[in-house]
Amino acid sequence: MIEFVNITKKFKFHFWEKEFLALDNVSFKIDQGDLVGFLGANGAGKTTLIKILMDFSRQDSGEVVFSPALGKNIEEIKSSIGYLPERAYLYPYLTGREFLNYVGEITSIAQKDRRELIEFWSQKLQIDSALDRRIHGYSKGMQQRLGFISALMHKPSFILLDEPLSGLDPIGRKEFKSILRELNNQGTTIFFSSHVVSDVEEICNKVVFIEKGKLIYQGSIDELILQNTDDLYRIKYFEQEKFNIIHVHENDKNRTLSELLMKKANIIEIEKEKPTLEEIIYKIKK
Amino acid sequence: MKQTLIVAKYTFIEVYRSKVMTSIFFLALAVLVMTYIASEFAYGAPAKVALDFGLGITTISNLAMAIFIGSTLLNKEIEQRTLYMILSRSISRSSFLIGKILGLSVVLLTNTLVLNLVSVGVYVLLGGVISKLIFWAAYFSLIEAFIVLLFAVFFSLLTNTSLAVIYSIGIFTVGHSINETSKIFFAKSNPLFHSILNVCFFMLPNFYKLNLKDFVIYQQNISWDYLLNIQIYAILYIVFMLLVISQVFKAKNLD
Ligand SMILES: Nc1ncnc2c1ncn2[C@@H]1O[C@H](COP(=O)(O)OP(=O)(O)OP(=O)(O)O)[C@@H](O)[C@H]1O
Ligand SMILES: [Mg+2]
Repeated sequence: MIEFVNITKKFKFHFWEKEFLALDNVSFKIDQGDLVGFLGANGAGKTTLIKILMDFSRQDSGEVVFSPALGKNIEEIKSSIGYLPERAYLYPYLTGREFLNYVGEITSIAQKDRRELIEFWSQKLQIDSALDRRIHGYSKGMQQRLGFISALMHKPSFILLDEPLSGLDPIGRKEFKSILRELNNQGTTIFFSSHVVSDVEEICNKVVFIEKGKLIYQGSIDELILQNTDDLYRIKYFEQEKFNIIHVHENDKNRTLSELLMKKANIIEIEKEKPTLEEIIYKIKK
Repeated sequence: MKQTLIVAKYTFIEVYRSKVMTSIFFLALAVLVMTYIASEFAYGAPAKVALDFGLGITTISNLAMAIFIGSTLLNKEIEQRTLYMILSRSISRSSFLIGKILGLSVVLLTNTLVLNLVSVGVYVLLGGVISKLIFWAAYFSLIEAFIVLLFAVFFSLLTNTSLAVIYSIGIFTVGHSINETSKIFFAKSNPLFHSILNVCFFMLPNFYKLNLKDFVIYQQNISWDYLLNIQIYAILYIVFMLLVISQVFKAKNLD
């Protein structure tokens, strides 16, 4: 659906300074129907890449290729994208409703639909009571919710979110995640950046991981976990009035188990050890 | 086109809600009081003095607004990234830019209407007679402010806000004095200077020609040809500026 081909981006603060490589030859693909988590530490280059995709920032080399399914020209393509920037940058003097109408009008949503959509989403995200107040007085999470609505309202086929979960309370995070999953089930392709690996693991099927501007991994989460799983089993048993846990390799598993049974140990649990995405990311980095 | 109007509409609302409109109101009040005071001190022709004052204040406040809003509004959007929310939609950068400028011009228009209404009101109350020239003068001062606005936007895209303000004031000053400068004997006699001046003449807006206040105050007649020519000149100038600004904005890195 969208392909990044050898994207390189340099920043230069002053002409006498050495330039800084923010993105180094990054290539990967987002396929239709994917729910992709975009991971990387602070300053890894996530926001920079997203801005390049949106044509706010211009890369030094490489290109972003959109599939024809998104639209023929850049205007059409943009109308099928729902974008939420890193911080929701909103007009302070407009009310929430005015802002949603503004973006809705630009995306040519008819007035009646607009009213219904605003009604529906603001209730779902619980900002309907604040909708007629100026954005100026919104809390961070409320702004994030408003921005989220503006990104979804026109039913885009591709949603691009830069740290959508930051600034939200735990319930809000959960709501956002379930909305993302729901939209993805309905066929929307989603790409979002995050720092929280467990959130990505929870809802995404793919992950893109960059580190200091370089692509480290891209692909399915399950595969990544499988690749990094050593064939270890964790056995928990009860013997001599206490619990014991041992870790054994696949090859030794059956032998160990029969030994334990011979000793009349009470086997409580046996489980294949699976590292979390977080542990793997941490391991890859080192 | 439709999208340009949408941007203009919400730009106007945004500016309207910020303190700008309140200041217009207070300015109008100040005009009222000051023209009254000024006319009290004028011997003979209080109405004319009132009008002179009123038109002058309108022009100055329009220019101040054009310069400050022009150099801050787009920059503020770029710095605060509010434009991401709009530019990520199916709208071209030039439509967005022109919508912004249009929204600001409506602010200028409102300012002109309110202040002129007040000063013409005082003028009439003091026994002045309304002539068509008053409207022409107001209209031309609006055009002048609009061109200054375009320059302010242009500079704000190239540099930071404070430099943009300074440059715009510079353009305004030069635009006004260029006509006079060309009359100086030295300028005429030195061929190099003369040709430089000619180039400047061609590039810079000639604001002097847009200033009809003297015609109004002294009731001189003004020919239709003159009015028409200046309007054509202004329109060409504005179109040219808009094209340049759009190109600059299109090429701009918004990171
Ligand atoms: N406009 C800019 N001018 C100069 N350097 C920049 C600019 N934008 C980003 N950078 C640099 O590029 C690098 C990547 O920044 P980016 O914002 O893409 O990181 P990120 O992965 O989004 O980080 P975070 O998780 O903190 O949001 C950083 O080192 C940053 O300093
Ligand atoms: Mg970021």
